This record gives sequence, C-alpha cells and structure tokens, in this order.
Amino acid sequence: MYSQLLRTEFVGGAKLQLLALTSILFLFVLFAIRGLPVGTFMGVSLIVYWAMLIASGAIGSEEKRIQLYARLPVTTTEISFAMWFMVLTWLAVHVCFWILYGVAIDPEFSISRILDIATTTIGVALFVSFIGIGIDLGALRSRIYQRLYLGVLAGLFTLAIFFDVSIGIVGNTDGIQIFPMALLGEGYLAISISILVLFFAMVADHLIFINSDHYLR
Amino acid sequence: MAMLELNGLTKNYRTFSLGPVDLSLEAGCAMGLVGANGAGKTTLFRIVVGTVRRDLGSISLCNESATASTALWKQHIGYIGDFNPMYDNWSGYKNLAIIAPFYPNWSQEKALKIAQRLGLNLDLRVKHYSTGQRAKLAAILALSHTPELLLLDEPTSGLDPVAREIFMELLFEQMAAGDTALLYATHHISEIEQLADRLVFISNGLIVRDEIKEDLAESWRKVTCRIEKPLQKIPNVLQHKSEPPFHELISDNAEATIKFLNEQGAEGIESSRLSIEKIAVQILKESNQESHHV
Repeated sequence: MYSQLLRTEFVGGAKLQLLALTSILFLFVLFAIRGLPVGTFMGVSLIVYWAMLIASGAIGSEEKRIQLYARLPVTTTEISFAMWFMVLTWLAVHVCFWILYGVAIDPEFSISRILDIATTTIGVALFVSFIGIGIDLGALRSRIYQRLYLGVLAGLFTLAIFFDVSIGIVGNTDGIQIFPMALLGEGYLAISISILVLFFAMVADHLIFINSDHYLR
Repeated sequence: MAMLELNGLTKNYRTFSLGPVDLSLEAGCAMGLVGANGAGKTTLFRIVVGTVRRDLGSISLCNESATASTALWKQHIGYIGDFNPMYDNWSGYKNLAIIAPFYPNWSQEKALKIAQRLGLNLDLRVKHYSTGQRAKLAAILALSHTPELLLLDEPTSGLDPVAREIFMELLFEQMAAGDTALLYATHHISEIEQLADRLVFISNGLIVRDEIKEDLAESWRKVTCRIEKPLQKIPNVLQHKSEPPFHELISDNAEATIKFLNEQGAEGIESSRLSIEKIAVQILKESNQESHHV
C-alpha cells in the first residue's frame, strides 16, 4: 500500500507541483538570461519551495487528508514516510535545479558552492522537520508539549535573527547560511553534525506522528 | 464468527470517558447503536477505524488484531463517519479512482451503479457538492468494496428522504447478499428499526443495554389496568401514570408485571406492544436519570 499512498500524494498535489515546477523553470530561464549567481537563484527558488509546502499543507489541512489516510488500509508508518518522501523529493528537485544552474550558468560555480548547496539542503530539511515536529506534537494527548516546543523554537529563532543568523526563510548578509548550520560554523564537521541532527529530528517527528492520540487533523 | 470484537475498550478525555466497552458483532448481524448526542457513538467508531487511539482494550476484526502498525484489517471495513474527508478539488469520479486501489475487492461497476441509484453526478467537483451529495459519495466509497464490516455513523444525515430510502435499500441488499456485519449508529430509531437484529444502547460512554430487537419488542409493553388500592414497587415498571382506579404502566418485562398485577387483584389488565422508538427513548431516559443519580 506504500506505493499506492505515494501515488495518491503525488496525484493529490499534481496541480500544485506543476505550478511549482513551472515557476522554477521560469525563474531558471529569467535568472540565466540576466546571468545572476547561483546563490540568488537558490534564494528565490526556496521561496517557491516554502510557498508550495505552505499551500500543500493548507489544502491538505482543509481536505483533512491525514484523517482520510488514517481511515484507509495503510499504517501510520506508511503515512509518515509518504509525507516525508514528498517533502524531500521536492527539495531534491530544487537541489537538482540549483546544481544544474550552477554548472550551466554560473561561471563562478565551484566545489565550495556544492558545499553551500549541501548546507542549504540540510538546513531546509531541518527547518521543515522542526516545523513538522511542532505540528505533530499538537496531536499528542497533552498540548503542553507543543506549547513548550513552539516556545523554545520561537526563542531560538528570535535569537538567530537577533544575531543575524539565517533561519532558512530569512536570509542574512552572508547569503545562504541556514540555521542551525550557521551556528555550527562551516565545513564538513558542521555538515556531519547537521546530518545527524536532521536524522534525529526526522526520527523524532516520525515517532511523534505514529504515536499521535488522533488523526483527525 | 465474530466480525468485530471489542474488549475493555477505553478512551478518556478531560470531560468525557468512553468505556470500558465490550461488544461482539457476529457476521451477518445488523446492530443498531443508539444513544443521545455526546453519548460516545462517534468516539467508538473513530477508535475502531483508527482515527483515534484507544487508551486501553483490544479490537479484533475477523479474528485479526486491529493495531496501528498493521492496516490490512481496514480493508474489511466500510465506514461512513460524522465527517467524510475527500479530495475537494477533484470530481467524484477522481475520488473513486484514487480510493479504489486501496481495496482489492473494489468494484467500479458497483460504485457506478450505486451512484446512479442515488442520483449522484460524479462529474462534479466535490467542493461543489451539497452536504447530501457528499453523504452519497461517502456511501459509495463505503459500499463499493463489499466490506465484511460496515460501520455507519449517522450515515443518512444530510440525505433527502428519497436518497435515504434508496440508501436503506442498498443496505438491505448488502446485508442479504452475504455475511456483512453492520454497526449502525443513530438517534433516529425508525431508520434502523427494520434492519437491526440487535440494539445496543450507549449512554455517557457506557453500553447500558444490549438487546435482541425481537426480545425487546416482546418483553416491553404498555400495561393498563384498574385497581382501587394504591400500587407500589411494581416489578420492572419504568413509567407509571395513574388516575385511580386506572393505571398505565410501561414495563420492560410485561410477563412479570402482569403476574404481579394479577396477584394484587387488578382488573381489566391489557397489554399492548410499544414501538422500538418508544422503548429506545425510555431506555435512554432511564439511563440518563441513573447517571445523574450517580
């Protein structure tokens, strides 16, 4: 049933995905014509990504899609994986466009830019997982966990903005540095730690989802 | 074979507790779940379907344990809930097309036939459907895979009288065709009166009575009599109106009540059947009073 659920997710968001894809292609061509660096393209492309996630979440929430899935003959693990698969697949599409843009258009594209792309990708995935945890905590038996979590997260983001650290949707003067990558510094160690943090965040989100008190959202 | 078995099913909220509920529904049996608003019917359904997690207890469907980590048991279920989520931006057809592959027994031919009988235009987008049309689509989704267990929570709410009648016909056909078990929640007893074999009454989260419908109709009677002396502590009487020497009683065991009245020297004893609706109302009133006394 996993493949069926994935198919449902893809077909369910087909129009939105088509719109997002058209937007990225349009931006790709527009930025390429103007010869803008890959970093700028990444920043605008990320806005499309966030817009798509928000629109998809809003439609899914209006249609009570999780409630629908919870009734179908699929496990909660399958639902969780399918939703994560969609989020990451779309991020991967953006990453492919960034690399393509860098290689084909940006004359200053180098191995260090690849590192930037990796950093950005992990940062975005982390940000999504943090938000996902915040949303899924709301379906636990007690709402107190969600309130605490969102409070801590809001505090951290406030600090990040205060210290001029990009938090994934808000850029800073250094360009694309994404929380918490910027806090960890640069280089492979930061990436490795962030991958580890991402892994734990995704596992945490999955565990919270499959242990939800209800799937009426 | 028990199609659905609930053992000690419990769910606690801050302001409401369901259970412990023990219930067994045999194949081919139609059970009416009757209760007032807020009695726990919808919560019970949601727990069985898996949209709400139970606190305690176990559920088995067709002798298969129903847990969140397995899901094939849901293929046996046809469910119409209090709210039926669908892809609002898609047509009825597309909704059927996307749901169908989840059920190996799905019959598109059956789905289209039901849609035709209910008079539902499947070309329209669901967001343009009225409440009644959504209910019709929910009925198609619930019946088209010929489920072994039908869980229907107020399935006719929003349906017009004609569609309601057709829907009941469909249920009769489904029940007659095989070993489908049906759990039908309603507070309109007339809807389920013809169909149900058993009636289960739920009040304040607890099952207060589980009765065979025929036994209920047989044992519950309105008894009238004439007697001069005051009557007290009449066995099995739930309601007593009197304008001496005339008395009108509602008894849940007419035989015992009539025997008592005869012993007391009552004259002109007559008993008449009560409608299932009247009995249900009486049971629910009684259980409400009991819970308030507690």
